[in-house]
Amino acid sequence: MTDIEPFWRQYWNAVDRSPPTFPALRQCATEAIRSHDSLFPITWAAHMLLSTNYTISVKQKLACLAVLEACCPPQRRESPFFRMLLIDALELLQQQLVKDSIEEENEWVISCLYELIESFLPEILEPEQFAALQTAVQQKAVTEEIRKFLDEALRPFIISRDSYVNPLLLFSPEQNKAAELAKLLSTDESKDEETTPSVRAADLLQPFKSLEIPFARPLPPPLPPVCGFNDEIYHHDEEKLHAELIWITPSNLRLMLLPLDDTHDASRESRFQQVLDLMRNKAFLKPLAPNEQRLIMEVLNEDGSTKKDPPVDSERLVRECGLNPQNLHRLVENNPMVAHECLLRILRPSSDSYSEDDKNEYLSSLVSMDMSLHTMEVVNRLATHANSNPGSSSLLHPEYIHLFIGSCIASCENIPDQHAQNRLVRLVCVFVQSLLRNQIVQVEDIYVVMESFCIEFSRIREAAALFKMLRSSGG
Amino acid sequence: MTTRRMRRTREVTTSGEEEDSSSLSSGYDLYRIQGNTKAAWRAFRKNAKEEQEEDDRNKTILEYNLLLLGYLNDSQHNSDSLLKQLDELETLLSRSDSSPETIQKQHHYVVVYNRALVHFASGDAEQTIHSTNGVVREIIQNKVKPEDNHIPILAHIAFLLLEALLATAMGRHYGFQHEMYDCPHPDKILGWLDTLDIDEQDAPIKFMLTLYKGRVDLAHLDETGKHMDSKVRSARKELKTAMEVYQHKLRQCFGADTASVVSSANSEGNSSTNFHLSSSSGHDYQQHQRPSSTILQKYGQSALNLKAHLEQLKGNTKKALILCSEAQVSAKEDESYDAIHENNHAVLYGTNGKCHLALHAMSKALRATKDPKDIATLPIFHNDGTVCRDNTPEILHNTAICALQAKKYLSAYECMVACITRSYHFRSRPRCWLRIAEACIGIFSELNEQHQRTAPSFTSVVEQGEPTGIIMDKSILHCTMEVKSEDLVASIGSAADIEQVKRNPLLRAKFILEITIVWSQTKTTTDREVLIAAQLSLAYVLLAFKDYSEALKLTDKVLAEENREPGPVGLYRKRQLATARMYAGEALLNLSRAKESIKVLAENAEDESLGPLAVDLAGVTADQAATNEKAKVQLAKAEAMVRSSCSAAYAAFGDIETAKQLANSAAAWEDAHGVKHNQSDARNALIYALLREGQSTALNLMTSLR
Repeated sequence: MTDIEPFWRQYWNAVDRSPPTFPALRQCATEAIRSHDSLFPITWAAHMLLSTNYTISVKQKLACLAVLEACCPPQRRESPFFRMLLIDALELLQQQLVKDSIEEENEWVISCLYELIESFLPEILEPEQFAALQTAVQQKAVTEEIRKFLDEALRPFIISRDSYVNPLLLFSPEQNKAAELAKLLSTDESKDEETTPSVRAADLLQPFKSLEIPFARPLPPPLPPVCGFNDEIYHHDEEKLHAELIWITPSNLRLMLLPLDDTHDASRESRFQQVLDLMRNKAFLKPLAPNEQRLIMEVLNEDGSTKKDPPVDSERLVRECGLNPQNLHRLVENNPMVAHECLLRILRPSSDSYSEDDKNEYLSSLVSMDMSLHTMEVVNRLATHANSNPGSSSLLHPEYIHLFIGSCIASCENIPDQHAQNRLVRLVCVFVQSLLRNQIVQVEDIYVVMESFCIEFSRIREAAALFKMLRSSGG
Repeated sequence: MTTRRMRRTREVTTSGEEEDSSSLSSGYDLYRIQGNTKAAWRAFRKNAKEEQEEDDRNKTILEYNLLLLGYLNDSQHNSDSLLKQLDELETLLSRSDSSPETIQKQHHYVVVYNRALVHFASGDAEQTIHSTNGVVREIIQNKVKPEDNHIPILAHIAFLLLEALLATAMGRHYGFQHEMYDCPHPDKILGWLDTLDIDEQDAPIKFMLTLYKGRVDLAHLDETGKHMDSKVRSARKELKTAMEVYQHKLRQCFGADTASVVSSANSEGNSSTNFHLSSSSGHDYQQHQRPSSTILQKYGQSALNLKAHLEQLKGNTKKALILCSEAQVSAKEDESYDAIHENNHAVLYGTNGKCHLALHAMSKALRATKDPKDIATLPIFHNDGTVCRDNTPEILHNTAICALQAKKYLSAYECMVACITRSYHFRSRPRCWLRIAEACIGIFSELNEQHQRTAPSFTSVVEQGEPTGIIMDKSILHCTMEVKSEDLVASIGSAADIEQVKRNPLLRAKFILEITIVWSQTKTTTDREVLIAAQLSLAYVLLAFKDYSEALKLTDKVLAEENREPGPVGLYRKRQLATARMYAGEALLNLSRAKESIKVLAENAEDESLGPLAVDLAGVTADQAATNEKAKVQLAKAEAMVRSSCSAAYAAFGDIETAKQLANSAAAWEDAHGVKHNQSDARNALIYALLREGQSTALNLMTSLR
């Protein structure tokens, strides 16, 4: 800023000496700026002097306008200072016109300003508008239309100053504000504990940034449930907090071991051999121990899930253990549960290893056995298989059951020991009652045979009950 | 098959010794029932040495199992090397096709499950979903009835998928993101699991199924991000069923003494709801009733944890706290649960409005988490094979929220940045980014307060040693401090970044908010709540950077929301809209559009026009303003703000008289509620109006205020 200080000192001296005409001031300005390369600080300072309440004379204000004009190149419209020049000229004209009485000595100022502003018109009006204006002025017939387009052309240059506010506040000595200023500055110093910076009045010919508009800017409200940054009250939104804060639940999931492929398992094979030995060497001869029976039952209970599986161990065991219709009764008598499982494997419809004839042989052998608790248990389980496994077909045709009942009656009649006979009769009666209740046999099919049996053994309570059941069932 | 397995299981566990002749089958049981990985490994090793497998496939299976068990026993854990070794064995398995198709398929499912579980344990929920979704989706879509021996493993794969979906749904506010991964909805998965013929005796699967049903129910949120009552009720029912399964089946299955539990629970009067035992008898439980199997302990822990969560949602904090403690005691050996326990404690405090207590608990939870430096070598599975997932990102997320609540903005920033840095999942959530930006704005608000107390204000003009005037700082009348543009530190969360955020937080906020806006609008969904909040916050930041035209564009977008939503507008949305109007007014004014600025703020300078804007801006209800002293102050501040801003707009427009009236009215609101003069918007507006008028009274006013 100090660079342009000599410029202004020299320029004011030249202006003081020059006559009070605008061409003379123009001449001064042109000469003054000739030796300066950097025109911006000079033009800005000129504009500042015009637009602030800095105390300078009207002649000096006109001189400032002359500097602004001199800084504009021949094609003034394209200059960045053109708009500034026009605005300041119009504002100065307005200031002079609103004064209550125009002093005589200032009349030349107003005429100068009119002259200056008129010189802008070719720049701001369209060529045809300017031609129309000239014609109208010459003919002294300025129409409303011409006034309108003149207004419109000048409006952008009429000062509105809606954003710029000078931060510089200067007071003339007569206002006597020194005491107030000293107070203000001392308060500022005591607050900051630093000396308030100061500048000389001579350094003020510089552009100052405008004061910012004191618009209150609220902080944006954070997304709930977080409370506002400057909120006085605490908003407690429990539901939102539930959704925002993460409750951690531990997981119970674990790594899994791969199951062995049992179809190729050596240990499985050895177990199978162990079971096969048990079947061959013991099962047909005497009752098995519970753990032995469990082992055999585990193998027998294994089942292939798909047709693509190789023959499962259960079928292989039945096939290889040496079971046939002739020795079936031995297995039934010694190990009825094992016998039942084996018969299930043989009789089931999906069994491809046994023909229908084979199956009939096994069944014939079963139903023709001497009556005992074990045979009865096996037959009963086979007979009720369909009932206990919904969806599966009946393994035992009623004809076989009739045969078995006949065999049982014969056994009862032929036994010499009366005590044993009573026991067998009771068993038969309970067995038949169970068959009737489960609707495995129909009353009419066995009525005749059972009626005579019941009458024969009517002394036994179970026989009487069976007879009663036969009669009540419509026999 | 299951019956046989279960029977053998019981033999092992009840006797405590290996009754079975086969060391191999006891190896399976030792792992599955007791979680004794070491003993299981020894059993497999013994088998591998003694019985040379002839079948290649079984050899590979043995190797596979030994690898897993060895990994669980090893002190050096590296999930990458595990995955690599699993890869090799899987290739070998796939090459040997000597087994029946059903067995091959079963093995394939186990391999898929284990691989996905390793991903899940490493914190990669997305990869877990991708790995498991294929199996589950195919079966559900094709409506194929799975074979009996596939049911347990398929159920586990479905559970893992649900677990991963639950992990990605946590804190999402809009429930599950299944569509993003092209997954079936969790309810559909659970429906399918219900149709499976799960063996009556397979109690662990039944138990886990009911627990997952409960957890999925709790993850359902409505459009506003709140839990749905019907789902909470349903979760409660599921939990009751889970407890019954635990008590009557699961304990028997794991060979635990059921009598003591039943009698104890009965003594409390309600066996199903009080299965966790007496609230005051945590030590008794620890001493007498904690099951010997760590697996069973963990099942119990999960049920107690879920019950505590339900009590929390019910608002029964005291009971929830007790249940949390019991869940921790139920598996005392599990140290990794400490972090979960402290986190859940903190959540309880946080939702109860005790944000400082919550922060204290969170700090304990963070201390119990894994050190990021050791994360690569720390175990991702417990010794018994259960997942030991790193929950640090969730804990950091919760800590950040609690810190924001407690106005500890720098801590909130650090925690949320650490959270997104450690977890891709949280990184993809726009809400987390918004919270970071909010933390930055919070830091800025603190800096601004300091600035208002310390900023120099004047330069004095001196002529011949006497003050003749002043040059005011250009922002002297503005209560928001000026921000400077500088290069943003590239590495978020670094020491340099923290230093920059402390110095110039809005710089980071701007960057974060731009990301938030992009990420909140995906191809399929738009998180509108986050989007609007981010747009508004970015408008604030841009105003601070004096980018008025961009700020105006953003406020226009926010204001466009006003007519978008049908029905009554909530208090928060009203506040957002009022704030947007204030920002739009400021932007317009600085763009020399004073008339439009006035229009956007209020139709005229009357109280009827300004009042509603101030009420909305304050974010308080009429009832609060009438009864609560703090709410009154908040409303007064908003009234003063609105009037001061309108005054500035009128002053800029040239209507100085109205501007002065409004500034005086604002000053009256401030005086009535004790607003400090050096932060007074009203005085600043009045000075501005006077300066616009060119009056030297502005100076008088200034001297009177300072």
